Amino acid sequence: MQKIILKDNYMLEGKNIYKQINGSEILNNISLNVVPSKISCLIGPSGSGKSTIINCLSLLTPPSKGVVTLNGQDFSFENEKSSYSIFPYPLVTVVFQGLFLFPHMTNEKNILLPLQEHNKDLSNFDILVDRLKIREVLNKYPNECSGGEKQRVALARQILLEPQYLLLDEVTSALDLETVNTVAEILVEMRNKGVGILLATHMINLAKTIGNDFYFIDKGIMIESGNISRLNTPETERLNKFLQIYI
Amino acid sequence: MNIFEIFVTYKDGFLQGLGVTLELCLLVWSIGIIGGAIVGILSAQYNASFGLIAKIFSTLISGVPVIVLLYWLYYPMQQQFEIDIPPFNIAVFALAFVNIFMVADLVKNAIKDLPNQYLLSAKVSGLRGKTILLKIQIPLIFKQLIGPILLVQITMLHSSIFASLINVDDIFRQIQRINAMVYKPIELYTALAIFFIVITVPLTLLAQYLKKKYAKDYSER
Repeated sequence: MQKIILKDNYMLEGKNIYKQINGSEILNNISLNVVPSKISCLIGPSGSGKSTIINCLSLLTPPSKGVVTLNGQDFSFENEKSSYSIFPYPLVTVVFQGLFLFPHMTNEKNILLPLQEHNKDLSNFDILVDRLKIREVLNKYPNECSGGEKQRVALARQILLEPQYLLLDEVTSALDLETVNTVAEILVEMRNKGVGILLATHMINLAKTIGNDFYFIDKGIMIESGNISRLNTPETERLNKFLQIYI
Repeated sequence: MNIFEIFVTYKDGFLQGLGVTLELCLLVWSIGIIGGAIVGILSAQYNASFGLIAKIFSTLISGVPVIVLLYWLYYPMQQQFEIDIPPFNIAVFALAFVNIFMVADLVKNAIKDLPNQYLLSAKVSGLRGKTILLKIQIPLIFKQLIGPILLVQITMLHSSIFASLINVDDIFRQIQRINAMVYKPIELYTALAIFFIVITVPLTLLAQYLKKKYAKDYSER
């Protein structure tokens, strides 16, 4: 993967994002940045709105209100009907919590189809397949694999697309510690090459190990954010309680 | 005269009727499946515009019995516009038209019912619309469409006998003609029923074969 060099102000930014679904407020005035060469960790309890933030930031679900800025280009939303089909995927890409591998294709085809569509260099394919230990399942279909194997295949698919911004939604939840370490190493390598990463996770230790900064949300509200070191000395009682449970 | 003697005596009429029915069905099937797939895909892609027009047509078509449509096209329409179209062509047009909208409805609903998650996944992987349609949507809906589409084609085969009522010399009309001469309704209409079974059973078996061959079980275990 080539090192990505972006202008100083380039980033993926969500400003004052609101999201309502069926009348209930899922996100309330959320602002956050995904910055090149940084890993930002999105933490919060289940149902706090982490997946919705990722969907809004990647414009898969239009925010009810707010602005998403990608490398200086604004995508403004005044209502649910605003939508943009020109968002430059896979420049920004997502690994979903549900993984969503194509069920009728083998894992190998799942990985290769997007790569072939974008004429991507396949030289990293074998290296990444071996590092993520998925060679044995390449010829299997997703429904023949364990949750952890599917997570690794989904990760490989999006990583090989060489995105500028990678949004990850609980992608290490089914992995053993050894594989989590491998994934962590790969993410750090990507960060060092200029990729901006947003990692939604419950694994606080992982966040502390590889993260640069964090955003803690609860019930759709940004409670606390800052440098990752602040997870050791949280300012709010809510974050403090959360950390006591999850560490 | 037993049934075999009747067949031998009137074999030209039988064969001609058989040929007309098969030609009619092949045209109706191929136009309906190809046209229906195109209309269904366009309806799903452009739901607010093309899809709405197709829905209106589909609702109107499904509300009118095939026989009424055939009669309307054959008698009042030709009289009104002072044109003369061969009955076979009218039958092909009417049945294919109905088939197109029945198949289109199935295709459109199958596309719309496809879980959105796969489309999101394809989108963030940067797959283009054409690739998503050809490599994700169509293969995933193929399994659920095989059975219903072949069932519709069997319905079209059955509906083809209405063509005889606008003077198309199909198998039903030939059987009626022969019966008028020999008066053997039990034998002749039993033979006709057997003819339809001979066509529909392979179609049903084909549906099962295709389902088995192309429809791998993708469900999570």
